[in-house]
Amino acid sequence: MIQLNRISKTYADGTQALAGVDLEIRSGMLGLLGPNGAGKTTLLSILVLALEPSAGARSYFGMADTAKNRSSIRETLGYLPQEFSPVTGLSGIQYLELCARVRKVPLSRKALRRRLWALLEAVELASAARRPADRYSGGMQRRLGLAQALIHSPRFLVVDEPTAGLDPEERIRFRNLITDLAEEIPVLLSTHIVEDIEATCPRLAVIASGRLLFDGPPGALMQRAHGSLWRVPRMPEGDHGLVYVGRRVDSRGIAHHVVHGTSPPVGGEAIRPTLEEACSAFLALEAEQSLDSEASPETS
Amino acid sequence: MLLLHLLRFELILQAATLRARFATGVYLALTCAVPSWTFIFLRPHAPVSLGAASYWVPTLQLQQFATVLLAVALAGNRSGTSAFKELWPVMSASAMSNSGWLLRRWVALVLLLLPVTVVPPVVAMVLATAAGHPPQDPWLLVCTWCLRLAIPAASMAALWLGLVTIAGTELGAALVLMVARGSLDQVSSGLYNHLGTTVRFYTEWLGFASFQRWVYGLTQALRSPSAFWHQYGTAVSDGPLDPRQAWEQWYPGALALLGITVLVLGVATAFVHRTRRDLGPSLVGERHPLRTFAKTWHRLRETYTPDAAPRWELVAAGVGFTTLALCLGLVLARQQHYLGLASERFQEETGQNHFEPVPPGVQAKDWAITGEVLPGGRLDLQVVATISNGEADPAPHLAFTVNPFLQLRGIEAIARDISIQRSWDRLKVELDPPLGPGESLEFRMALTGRPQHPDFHVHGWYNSESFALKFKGFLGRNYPNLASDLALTKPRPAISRRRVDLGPGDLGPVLRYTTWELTPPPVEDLEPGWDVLPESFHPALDLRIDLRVPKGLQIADSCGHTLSNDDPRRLQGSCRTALSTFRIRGGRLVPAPSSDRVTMLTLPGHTHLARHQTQTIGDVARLSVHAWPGVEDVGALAVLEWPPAARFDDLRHGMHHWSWATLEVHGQMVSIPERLFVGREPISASQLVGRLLIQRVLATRTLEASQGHVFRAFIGELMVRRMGLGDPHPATVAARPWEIESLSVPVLEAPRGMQLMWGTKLPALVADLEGRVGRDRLVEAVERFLSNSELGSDARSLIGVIEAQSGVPLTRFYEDYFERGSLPTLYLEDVGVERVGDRWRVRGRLHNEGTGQSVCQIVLKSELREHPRTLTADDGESVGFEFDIEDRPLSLQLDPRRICHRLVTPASEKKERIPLVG
Repeated sequence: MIQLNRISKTYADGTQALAGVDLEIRSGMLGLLGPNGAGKTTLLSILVLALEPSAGARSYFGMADTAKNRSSIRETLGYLPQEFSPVTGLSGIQYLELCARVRKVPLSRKALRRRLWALLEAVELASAARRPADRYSGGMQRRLGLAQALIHSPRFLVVDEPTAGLDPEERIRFRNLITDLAEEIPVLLSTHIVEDIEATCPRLAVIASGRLLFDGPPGALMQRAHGSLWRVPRMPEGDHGLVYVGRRVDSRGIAHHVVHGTSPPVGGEAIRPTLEEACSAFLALEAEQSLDSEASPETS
Repeated sequence: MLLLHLLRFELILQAATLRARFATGVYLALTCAVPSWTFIFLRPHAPVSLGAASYWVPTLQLQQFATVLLAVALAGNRSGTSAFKELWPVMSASAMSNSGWLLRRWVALVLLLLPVTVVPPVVAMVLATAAGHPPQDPWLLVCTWCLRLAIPAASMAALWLGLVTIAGTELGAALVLMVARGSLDQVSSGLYNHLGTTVRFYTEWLGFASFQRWVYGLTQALRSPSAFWHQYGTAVSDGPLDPRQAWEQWYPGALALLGITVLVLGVATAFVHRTRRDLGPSLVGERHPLRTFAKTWHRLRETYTPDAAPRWELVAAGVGFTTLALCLGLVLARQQHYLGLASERFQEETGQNHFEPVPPGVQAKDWAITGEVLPGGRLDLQVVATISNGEADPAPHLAFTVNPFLQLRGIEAIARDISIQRSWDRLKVELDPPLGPGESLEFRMALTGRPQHPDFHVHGWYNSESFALKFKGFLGRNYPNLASDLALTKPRPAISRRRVDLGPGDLGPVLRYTTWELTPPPVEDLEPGWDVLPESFHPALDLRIDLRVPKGLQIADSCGHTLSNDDPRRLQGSCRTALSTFRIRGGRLVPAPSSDRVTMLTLPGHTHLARHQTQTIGDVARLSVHAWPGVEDVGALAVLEWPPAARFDDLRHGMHHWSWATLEVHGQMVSIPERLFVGREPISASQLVGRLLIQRVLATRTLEASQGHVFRAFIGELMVRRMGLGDPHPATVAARPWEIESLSVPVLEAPRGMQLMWGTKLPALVADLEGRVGRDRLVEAVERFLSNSELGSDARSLIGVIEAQSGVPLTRFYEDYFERGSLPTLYLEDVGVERVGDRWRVRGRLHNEGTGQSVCQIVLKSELREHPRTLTADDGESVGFEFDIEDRPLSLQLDPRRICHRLVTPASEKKERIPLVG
């Protein structure tokens, strides 16, 4: 089990990226959602020991994050960073072998060879194994990245924005890969793409402005949004307490989806939200509440 | 195992980049070109027989700096922030520490670099072997490769890898380096100001200066083909290298910067940037005027802050600091050591309380030296001597010169109490009771040590300034940059793997008769400096020597002894000689083919050259009794090939400046400088005679010291001619255009090392003089001059005596050649033949195009006989002549025996013989 306890991070220039995040990862796949600048990458960096938190504690499978445990913790982690690019000049299989050697994978030469090929087969790169990896397409590079993250049989996998920029076919292929993996080890999937989460994650964490706002099943998030999301054919002028979610095109033409408590706005009709809309609505409401709470001391 | 994998990946990754491929390709092409150029172009034309070192050392001169550049190019390749971004996923889940990663990367780089650096030496050795000169001394290769290639490559790879890791980019690393370089100078000055001593961060050991010298030599050589061999310096000593000496010469200049490189790599491990540290935030107000700057600053601070959790990184940095401290400590300790020795010598030389030297009547009658040369250059000696007092007064003490590095383990005198005082190279033995007139005393001494002659690294206005003057300047220095770094002092051991040179004092104490006071130099040196003069009184004694040497060492002494055939590890013998001139020399030499009078020892690869030199030396030894009236047979000679002193900082030294190489003669031992020995031309008989026999002739007469060299050369040449070993037609000189200037130097002003003067011009003048006055009359005149001190003591007086003795006017001869440096060039012109009745008339002119009065013979050859005529042609003068003969003239020839001194050029030579037939 991986535990983050009251993790905060403030950068040297004063930017607060995380504020008291608590997170516990046991098994299966956990999706991490959040807008740009929410602190996702900071959180992942702290999680994979790439960044020291300003406050809080980390523990990994019972090992507290101490200097003594660092090497052992690192051995348990697999990580595919957002901006992954393989080492220029190496072929796919050479790259994987380098990773295996550096991580001291305890296998004989033959066994390691078999494992490399098995991994390449698993990520469907066997046919391109001997080609220079830096000339792979984006999707191939991500799949190679996944293979490197798994080469040392980690106990926990962190995947940061793996499907960004991929075509639908590649996205689906990648999603399937990590879904299979999540049956064996806990996987943290950080992404912008709600559809990926919807398709793969039984648990979802939403982070915004450095705070963990939601941690639970996607259905619970959708449940929260249920009854507060409305379809209005046109946006009324003036502030009517509406929180804009987005514009949608459906069979009846263009309409606007807004959040408005439990009573319908003028001309509005209740709709069943998608996870993306539920998330947007949730974030919008959270943002509004946050603004209100900031404004209230002044008004009082 | 992991290291081997990293090495493999380093190789793959470097090979994938154009930069590494290009750098390595250029490196190999350039460095392998040097021995190839030596093999293909230089070998057939070189004025010396090139040995293996001639292939290797010039290569090394280029390769050393090229290796540093290659190390930097490869270490900077795929290093820094951008490269690490690619490597981060590789390392992120690794249990390896930052230091483990960076140090392994460095080791992999070094393991990649080192085999590349081996290629040029291997090529050089293969070519040398193909040329018939396989390498004789493995240490030359091993030491030079290790100290000049491997360590600079490893350290520069460490330095650059560390700097790029810290700075993130190579540009940043270059900036850091520049700032650091300036800072280190400040540190040096600061240390000096506070401690009075300093450590310098030399970069010479990285080979840039050597590379510059190589480039300069090459460009000069190509620009001036006449000086090609001199400038390019193809000749390199094949003498063995002493690793200990090499290390002692290398490390004082290298350790400080080497320590810095270890420190940089150690500290850089904390900058691999795998786990960014959490820094305290600095909040900058929204309206702060420097908000952008402040935020940028904080971002930079975050970027360049070392990583977090630096357990092993702290260890690595600690190792770096410790290494640096050790390096600096070693250098400072060495500095202090030599400062102490130099101060001791200075105080002794400049102090007022000199030991009183021994009066001339106190002399040793016999002297026995028994001992052993131990491996590592230590001497273990026992000396037994009998000293008697021939003075009218008792001698209360004895004074000796002894090498300061020889410890006196014990000294005893029979029936006398003795007490000793020792200071630097001086030893005073107080006798109680004093040695009375006519009394004798038997001494026994036991000594041990490693005799050395330290070459203190103290700057002076002139290189040739004496130690006392230089050290005085050092003590009175005002600025740190004037401070000499005594750590760079070279110990110059008397016994090394390269050569053995045991002179007076190195084999035990030698009685001192000459004062130890500082004395101005002889006028002929023309350079400032006061020095303690060497011993000038050399009473002879009966010397017995019995010295055991380690296996592989060959030595000879100035009595002509060499290791006996019965016991090849023992030098044994006795002779009558002066202890102050007794010398033992040798090294890792091997016996070469010798004659009955000459035992020759050469470097292992040079035995085939011995025959080349033995002939001349044998002739001189055999004919020595004919050299001069009264000169005795020189007897058997021990002849050694003598490699230059080991200078690891300039392996060509001593071979490069070949024109300075001169024979050295100590009694019956002749040392031939290696450069002369390997020369295509055998050593000149006159040089050997000059060293071997002249002293025996000149010892009877005090001559003008400033003209001593002129006398030696002059009389030596006469001796050579008497022995029949000189050039039969030496009065003419041929020279290339650029050499004419050297031939036009007055004899009295020519420097000692001027080969064209002493090897060409003076022999020509002696031949001319002999032609004018006759050989016997010339020798008689010189004998008369030498035997009568009232006839003056300079060259003018000598020529005056020859003039008086022979009746031939020689005033112009002296003025033209000794004072003015004239050089006549003669040819015949306007030569015509006409028939006048039944006779033949030949007319023409002798033209002296050069300078100086020339007295020269022309010979008209006719059908029946020759018609000689002597003409005198002055500067630029054209002298007419006319022959009126009966028989048919055939040819007109200028000086057919070539006994008239002149310059012969290709143009003038065509006009020296005019055919008249037809």
